[in-house]
Amino acid sequence: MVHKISISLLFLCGLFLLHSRDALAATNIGVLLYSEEDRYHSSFEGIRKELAKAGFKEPKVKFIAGNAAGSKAKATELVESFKKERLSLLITLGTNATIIAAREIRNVPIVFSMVFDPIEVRIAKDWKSSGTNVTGVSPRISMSGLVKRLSEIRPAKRIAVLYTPGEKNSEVQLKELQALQEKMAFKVVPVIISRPEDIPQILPEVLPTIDSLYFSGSSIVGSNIPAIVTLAAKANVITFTHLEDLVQNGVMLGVAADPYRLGIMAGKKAAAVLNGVSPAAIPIEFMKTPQLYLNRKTAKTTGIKLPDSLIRNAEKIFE
Amino acid sequence: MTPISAKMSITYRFFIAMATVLFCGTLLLIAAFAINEWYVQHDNLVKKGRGLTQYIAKISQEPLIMKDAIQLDSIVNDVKNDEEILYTVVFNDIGEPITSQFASINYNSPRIIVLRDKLQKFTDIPLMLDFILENEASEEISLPIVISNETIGVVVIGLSKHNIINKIIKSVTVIILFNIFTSLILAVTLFGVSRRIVFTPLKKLTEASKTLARGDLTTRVETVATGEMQLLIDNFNQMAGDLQQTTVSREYFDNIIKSMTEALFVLTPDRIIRDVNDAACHLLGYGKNELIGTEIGRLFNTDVLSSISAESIREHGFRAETESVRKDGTHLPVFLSLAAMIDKQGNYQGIICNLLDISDIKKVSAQLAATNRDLLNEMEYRKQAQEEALCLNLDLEHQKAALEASNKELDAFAYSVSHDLRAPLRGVDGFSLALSEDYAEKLDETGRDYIHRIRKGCIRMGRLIDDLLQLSRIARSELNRVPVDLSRMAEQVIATLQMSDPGREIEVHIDSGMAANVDLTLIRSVLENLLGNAWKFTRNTAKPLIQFSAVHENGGSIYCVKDNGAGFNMEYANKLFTAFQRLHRQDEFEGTGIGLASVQRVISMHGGKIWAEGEEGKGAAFYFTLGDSQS
Repeated sequence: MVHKISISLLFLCGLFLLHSRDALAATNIGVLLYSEEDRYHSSFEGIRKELAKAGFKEPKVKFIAGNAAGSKAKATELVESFKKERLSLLITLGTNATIIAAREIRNVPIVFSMVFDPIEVRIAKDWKSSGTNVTGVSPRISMSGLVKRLSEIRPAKRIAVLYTPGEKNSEVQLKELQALQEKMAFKVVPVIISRPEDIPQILPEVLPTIDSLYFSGSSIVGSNIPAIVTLAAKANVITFTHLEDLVQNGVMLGVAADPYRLGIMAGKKAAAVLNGVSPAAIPIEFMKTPQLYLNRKTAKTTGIKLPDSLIRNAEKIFE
Repeated sequence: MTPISAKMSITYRFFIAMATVLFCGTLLLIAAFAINEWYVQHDNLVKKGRGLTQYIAKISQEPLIMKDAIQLDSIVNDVKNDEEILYTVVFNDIGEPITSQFASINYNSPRIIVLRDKLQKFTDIPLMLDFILENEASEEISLPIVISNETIGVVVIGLSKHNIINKIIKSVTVIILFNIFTSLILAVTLFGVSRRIVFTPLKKLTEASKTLARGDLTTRVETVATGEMQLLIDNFNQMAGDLQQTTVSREYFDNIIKSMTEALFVLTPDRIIRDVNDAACHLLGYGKNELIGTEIGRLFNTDVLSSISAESIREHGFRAETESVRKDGTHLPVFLSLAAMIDKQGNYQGIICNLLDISDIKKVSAQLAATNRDLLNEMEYRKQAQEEALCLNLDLEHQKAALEASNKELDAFAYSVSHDLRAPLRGVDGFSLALSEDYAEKLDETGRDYIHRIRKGCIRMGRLIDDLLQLSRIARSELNRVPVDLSRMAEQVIATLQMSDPGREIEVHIDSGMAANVDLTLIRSVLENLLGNAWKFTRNTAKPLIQFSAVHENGGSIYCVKDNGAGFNMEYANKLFTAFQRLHRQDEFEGTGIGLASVQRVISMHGGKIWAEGEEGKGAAFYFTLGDSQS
């Protein structure tokens, strides 16, 4: 009889150990950055902090990160590799990364950050609910607000939009500006930047015909800020954007959501997902009150005196 | 003579011509190439443009329907990699450009870069396109974008033709450079070759002809050339040589005239003596001044010239044999020849009169005539003698034929007689033998002696008959010449003799290598007879010696059978070869007297000769030839 109990106890211990082993196993979280933009890293920091706050931190949580370096093919490859991992959650940063992940992975919850318009790019059917395994945050701002801020420096008559066909976020941004043309009495001049060589070739033709230059979320544009800003400054063209890190790198004016704070917002959603909430039940959000960012140095080289109204309201002025 | 300037020289002209031809050829080639290339490249450009518009029209359909300007911008922007494309614009169905300025205009194109400063003043795309078309060599291709037979837009592509021009310029440059390069090489090669085979010899010829024209007839061209140039040089040298030989200077001409042995008169057209040479004065005995001014007819004793006209002299000349009268009144037979002197314009300048003293010729001619007559007589005489000789020959031929016939009859007779005599002789011999064998004891000494003599007589007669038959056979034999080793045959004969008389020791010398084309059987009989005689007649000699040798003379051989035996008296040498004639008694040396006659017959049949030399008691030598002498 004792013999029987002992065996039973041993059996139970074994079961417990097995369960504990499973319980003690790390939660795998995939992280896909589309490119090396500062905003992606800042946003991910926010997500990570918020997850840690919710108890999802290493070693309990294991982050499996990948950077597509601006290549859709690489992003697709990373997504395929993520499929083989037993992920509890996939975090994507950037519109292109999110589009690819959402297309390829349907059985793992995806939380995104830094996707300008998830509805326009068809990641989600609605801001309130994606209807799929996806949720997240957007750096979306009001383009009209941005143009208004711009007008405080100098009214815009002809705005060139630097965008990259194929990068949906930049296409969306162009369309939004184009939609405001008639209402706000300015002309949008689309300028395709599909490779870095286009910048010295096309910009010198464009700059004499415009007064303002908008930097979209294109990764190619984002990785060539100094060259563009220098040319624009020489042509007395005001540069503006909706991304904070671009202002930090030289764009004169920006109205943007803080990527770190966006990351915090996304982190909360990620924690909820890890706690079992369906992504479709979590609305997609954006920051309702973006901040104003200025780059004084660029203003100086452009020959522009920044108005006090802007300086007073600026969240941050980069020197 | 006008000197040839550098620009007139054939070398200069040749190379100018060559350069002109090459230049014109190059120009034509370039023009043809450029025109062809233009059309080809233009076609290619248009084809490219059409292909591109078709492709863009196809992929623009959906974005155009969806009014996706960004997608259309992306499509036209991707075409910008081709520098030949100036612009690509998509228009909607009402002609408004859908694609944006900086996507449509190819600012990467070097041709747009040239225009960009002026383009900056334009913001309207259609105006920009018009400006580009006006200021740039271009080709615009447009294609409607059609879906379900409905035109929803138009794609327009502008292509620069500048590249065509650039390509043509590049190709033309290559052609020009290549042409220059090859032309230089060809020119240098041609220059080198032409210089060697044409211009240098031509220059030498020119210099030589100048020298020749100045009167230096010794000038020659030493340069070696090839082909026609060498022929020209050779002809020039030949001409210069001929000219040198034939062209005479005044002094040379005077020397000729003076040196002539024939009388020469230079007459005016009306036959007055204008000039004479020394020979003329000497011939007629007049002084020069006496002759000059005289009418030539006065120098002849006949009116030989009266019937001859100046035109006749001009056309045919005049030659005649006549007599001239010397100053001393003697008549001199002469040969007169007249020839007209005509200048280059055909004018009658005078008459050349030549007088040749033919008096010696006349004498010789008479002598020749006499000699001719004698020769003719002699020929007639010899002809007669020849005819007589011919008749004699015919007689001799007849006699020879008769003699041969007679010899044949005699031979036949001898054969027949010998043959017929043999039978009774056999009878006599047989019965005498029977008597001596069967009845010898019944006969006395005298009877037995008689029978012995009868038998001896029969034996001897038999031999005689055999020899006679042999002689007749020889006469009837036909000669069959074959190469025969005479030395070997002689050795065989000696061997046979030795076998029949083994006790005799005789020294025999036979020359080796003696050979001749003779009848084998007949020559054997000769050697058997001669060597047999030597063998026989040295019977009583202490150290008998027989020699058979040959000496070669006049391409033939003289054979000799010699011995140191009994010899003979040369007084009777002519009887040696007569049949039945013997110089020794039977009891001295046996024999029938036919052997040497047979030998002579055989030698004669071979066309040879036989003779003998001897001395009584010293020996004899028989010499013979076999008809192979070339003497």
